[in-house]
Amino acid sequence: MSATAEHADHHGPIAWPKDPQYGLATPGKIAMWIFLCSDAFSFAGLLLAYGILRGGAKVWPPDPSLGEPHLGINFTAGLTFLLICSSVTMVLAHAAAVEGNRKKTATFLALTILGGILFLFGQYQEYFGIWSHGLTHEGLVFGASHYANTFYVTTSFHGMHVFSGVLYLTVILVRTLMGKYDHGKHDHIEIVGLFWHFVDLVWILVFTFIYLL
Amino acid sequence: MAQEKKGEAAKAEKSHDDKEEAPVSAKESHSEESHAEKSHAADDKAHPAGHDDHGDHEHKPNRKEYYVIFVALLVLTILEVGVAQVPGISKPLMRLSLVGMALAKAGLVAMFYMHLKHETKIMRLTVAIPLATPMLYAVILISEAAWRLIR
Repeated sequence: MSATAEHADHHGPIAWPKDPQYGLATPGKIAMWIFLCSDAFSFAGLLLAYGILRGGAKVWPPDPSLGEPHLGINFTAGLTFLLICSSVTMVLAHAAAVEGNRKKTATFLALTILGGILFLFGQYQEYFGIWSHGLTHEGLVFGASHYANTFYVTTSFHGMHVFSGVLYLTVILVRTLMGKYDHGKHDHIEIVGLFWHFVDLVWILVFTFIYLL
Repeated sequence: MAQEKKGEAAKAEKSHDDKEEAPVSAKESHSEESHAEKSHAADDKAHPAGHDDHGDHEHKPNRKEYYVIFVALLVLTILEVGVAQVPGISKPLMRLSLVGMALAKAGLVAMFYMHLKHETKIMRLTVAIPLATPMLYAVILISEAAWRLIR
């Protein structure tokens, strides 16, 4: 088991030459930031559509006769708290990786994954209900109104990001356990962290715009 | 001779300013290279991120800072949930404070957890400028939609 660490291609940190504009940021990190910008535009499109439809609606939820439920703030605040916690475990995983502590890195990555999975369960509960009625049973029908459509499309698009983030984190966790990020090669862990924090950041905005306002 | 001494003293003083910690003797300021390295290490301890050379060297994660940000995010979330449910609060005031708090939270995550504050200025602008445009567009379109409603 310990021999696997010795099979790493390089020993010691990879030293990128310092770029006059981007400093020591690795190409992978810059690429992730550019991807995150483009991903942010997708969310911006969804939130813009929501804002325009809501701004132009006389009442919101639009049609009182549909009997659509209001969104549960307290439960979703719990989900927000969960994602914030998983962001903390993510930065702690990176901190452990910088210190070369493989076991601690793996533990915190696993906790981050757990946070993501719990969030997905929470979202499932909110939509379809596990221990109580979900929104779909309470009359929030996809396709029935702007209110229902913008809600489902935006939150499920975010849920897909949490899901892909969980998969991405799992790959990084396995590679961590294989010893791929020993010897100071921890930039992949920072990059997966960027994606995960972005998912958290977007949820902070979605929570405010869709649930609280 | 006297002038040389003076110059040396000034040099020592300057290097002392750089370090802000651990007294430096005039002798040490001669070994420029090792000194530069040492002062970086001292800087990192004293100010984990308070200086200008962003992106110049790898930053050691600062756990205490992470916990402080966590508490700030938690407090802001509780405040948000509170503000959203205050009975009889004026709508514009509520919306303004909620959006302000959400942007503050997003900014904290980006700067501290995503380490943007350790990146170079160009890197930060690469991220910030594209993201500012949809916000501007949102303000225009949403206020237009709302204005058409009250007209």
